[in-house]
Amino acid sequence: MSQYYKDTEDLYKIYGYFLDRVLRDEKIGTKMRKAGIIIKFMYTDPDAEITIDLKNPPAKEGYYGTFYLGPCDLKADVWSKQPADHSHRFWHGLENPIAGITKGIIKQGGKVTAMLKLLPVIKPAFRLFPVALKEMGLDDLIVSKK
Amino acid sequence: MNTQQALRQPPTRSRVDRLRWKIIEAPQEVCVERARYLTEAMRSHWDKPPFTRISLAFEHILKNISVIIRDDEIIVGCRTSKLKGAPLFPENKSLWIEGDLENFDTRALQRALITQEEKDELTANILPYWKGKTVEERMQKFMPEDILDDMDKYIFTMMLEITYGIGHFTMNHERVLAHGLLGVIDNASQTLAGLSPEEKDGEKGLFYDAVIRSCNTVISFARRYSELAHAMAGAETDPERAAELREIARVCGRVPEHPAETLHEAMQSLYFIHLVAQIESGGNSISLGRVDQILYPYYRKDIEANRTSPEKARELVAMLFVKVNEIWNVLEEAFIPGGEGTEGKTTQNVTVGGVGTDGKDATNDLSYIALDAYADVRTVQPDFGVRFSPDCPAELMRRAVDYDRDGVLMHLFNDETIVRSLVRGGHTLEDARDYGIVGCLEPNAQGKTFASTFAVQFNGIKCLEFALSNGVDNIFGYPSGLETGDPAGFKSFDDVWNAYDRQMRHFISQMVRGMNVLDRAIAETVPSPFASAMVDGCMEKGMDLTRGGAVYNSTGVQLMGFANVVDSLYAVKKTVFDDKRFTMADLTEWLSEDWQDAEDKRAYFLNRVPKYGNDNDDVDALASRVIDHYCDVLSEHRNFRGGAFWPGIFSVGFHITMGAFTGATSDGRFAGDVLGNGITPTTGNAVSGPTAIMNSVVKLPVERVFNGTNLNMRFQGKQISTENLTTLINTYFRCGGTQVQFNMVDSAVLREAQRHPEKHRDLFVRVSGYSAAFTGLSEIAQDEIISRTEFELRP
Repeated sequence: MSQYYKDTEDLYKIYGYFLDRVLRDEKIGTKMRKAGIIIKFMYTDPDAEITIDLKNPPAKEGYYGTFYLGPCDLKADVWSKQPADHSHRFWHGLENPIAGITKGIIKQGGKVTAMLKLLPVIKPAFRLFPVALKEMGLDDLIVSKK
Repeated sequence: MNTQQALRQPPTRSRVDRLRWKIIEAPQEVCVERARYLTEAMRSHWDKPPFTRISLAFEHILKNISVIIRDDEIIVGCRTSKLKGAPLFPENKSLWIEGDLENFDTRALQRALITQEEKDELTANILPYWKGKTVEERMQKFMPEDILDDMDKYIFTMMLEITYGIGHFTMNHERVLAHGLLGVIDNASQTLAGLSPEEKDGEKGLFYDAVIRSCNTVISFARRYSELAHAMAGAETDPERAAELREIARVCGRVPEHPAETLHEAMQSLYFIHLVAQIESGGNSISLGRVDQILYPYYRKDIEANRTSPEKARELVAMLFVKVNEIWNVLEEAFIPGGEGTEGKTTQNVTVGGVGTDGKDATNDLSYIALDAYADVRTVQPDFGVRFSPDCPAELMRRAVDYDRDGVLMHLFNDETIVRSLVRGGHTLEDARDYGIVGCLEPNAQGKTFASTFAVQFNGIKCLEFALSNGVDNIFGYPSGLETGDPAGFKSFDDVWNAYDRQMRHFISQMVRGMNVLDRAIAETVPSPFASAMVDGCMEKGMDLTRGGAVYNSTGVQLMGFANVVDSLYAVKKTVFDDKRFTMADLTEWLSEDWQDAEDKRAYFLNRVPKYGNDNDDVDALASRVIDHYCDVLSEHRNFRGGAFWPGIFSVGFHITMGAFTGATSDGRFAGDVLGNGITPTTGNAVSGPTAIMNSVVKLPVERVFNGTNLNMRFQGKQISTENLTTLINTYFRCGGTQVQFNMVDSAVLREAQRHPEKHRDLFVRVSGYSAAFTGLSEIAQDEIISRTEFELRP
């Protein structure tokens, strides 16, 4: 049972808002664009799937990439799978991704080297995730650092 | 059972060429046999002492794994049932196999075929057994929490030994060739008989008992090949091949049990020993070493007896070189970014040329034959090196350089510097002179060393990042390092250096504690009695290689981002404290924000501040200080086996991955960008030509870097003359360089290979101290190789 998400729709609502902010942010978006890959994030509990296309021209003007909530036909270059709650804490800067991989919490595959190109966007995105939650009125989902 | 379909080649190809193409075109596969028989044996013997159960498992494996002799082969012996098959070592780490199982045959890089039956067997019978029993789990049980936390920060890695067990050593093949395994067994039996009752019942007795069992096992394994060859000869319709098979049967019936008499016997014995050591454990780079010295007596005897000719010997050596390409290990997918080019990662080194133990140049006819044979095969394995002494024949240098400029990948070593370095590191002069190469480029006393040379990769530039961020990780934004003070308050360059020093000392100390726990877990769980019997010191001490049995024991720790550390420190010194152009507060803010909105400042740091690799005395002096400091810090520690931690500066693929986890640096580098490779200047910043690079390198205290340094250079192969390249190498070595290697492929060819990988399956490149199929690398690694500065050499 997820600590942070009621169900898949709830997850899509939150990540949809967050990704909309991230992919419009000039500083983060330009760096993400440089990765030039299609990445699929798969979540468990609740089960969900989000694809971010940083390879093809963005579908909407003013965006640096396109995201798809739910299954989509795009062939991902790289994929990552983890519990949704782990991801939620990660975006607060509270989970070490290397530890997640070595402990088997996060699985990944495909062109894993290409995913490394996304590392420089993590820190600015960390800042944005709690901001997005706040803007959505979901202050109770903001995880505070102990 | 052999699942490999025979690939028939056009009849016009030579035997070596047929074997070469067969291995190049063979798919990489996982083979479950070793894991199956290991697990079966362990089920029966787990309650026995580790030496006993591991040797019984070795026996069960070699009694049952497939024995296969393929078309055209003269040198025989297989590690798995597949032509290019990777065995699994679940006793070391099994969790990753479970995680990667469904992905082996679909992953984008380093794909490895595996049958559904094998997947099922692993899932149902093998992997569940190992839960709670592996080296990794034992290590984690005893590892302090703070070290486990630091291991996850990617400042240092200890990946290889956890995944596969020990490797990276050469064996004393001369001893086996001279006395046979029966000689080893006799020695062990006599020593065992002479032990006191307490010793017999203790570790020593168990060790010798395991050695005897393991050696007998290998003799039986060779006999299985003899029997197979005999049976195949009986069924063979081609009389020429039937005669060859009868000879194989005779040879395998004789060696490695007995001393070798002929070149064929010597090579077959050497290969069996080389092969089975990599079935016992799989830590990569168990190396053949100085084959020209080891095999020369047998070659000479054959020549004198008219049993062979230089041409026949060349073919036989080439077949041995093709054969070692069958040996590879499948990499955990999470670690692929650090282990680019899997076929190259077993780095089975062969070294020719160089001085003998008497200090005189020992180049012989077989040195040339091996060099020619390697040029015939041009495969990823072996990792071929040529040693040059001051008295080396001009012809050896000419021929090696000629091949090199023609794209035959090898590395070149300077005896004078390396021998001095090894003596400084504690070797006797004779042992230092008899060094072989293991791993990428690590020199070791041949057959006397377990130096675990690839044990640790240490991110030095991350320590500087922490020094300039008061311990905050600029990639993730959270505290990871020591709090060494707000850099905005640093009053002098000494303050910066002191913060860097504290970060380095802290993480090196943590790494040492971690390595010692890991080494203990390995020694207590998976000793290697067979390999121990092949390395000097262990039999005399009655002590396993993993415990410190070898004559020489050290642990290699590679400094990542060396050139970035130098350039970044120099940039801080020059711009903040010497020129007072910028403040520390501003600089650290730009680094924290990955140069966001400070592109003009980044451009200044990148382009206007002198860089290492341009023969600039000030920068090179700081580079020397960085190396001296690194060596000093490491020298304060001892490893589990009683040896030293040896500094190395080469990067494998870790300049890519550790770069990805490193924030922006004051040399003008963006967060996540690739780091400098080994001792090579950072890409694009050595703008004064190849001579200036080499001039910078030879000013460094490389003799203190006992575990080796790697200098990569790239030239337009066909456009430079052998004479010019020879002069460059000679001058570099005369001035004190240790090692250099070249890529000679034009960027246009590499770009074409990116577009049409299917047409370039035999395009191999030097990555770090090893070669890899270019098309098997990630795009990032391919781009990094293409981006390396392509130099010209004009008369």
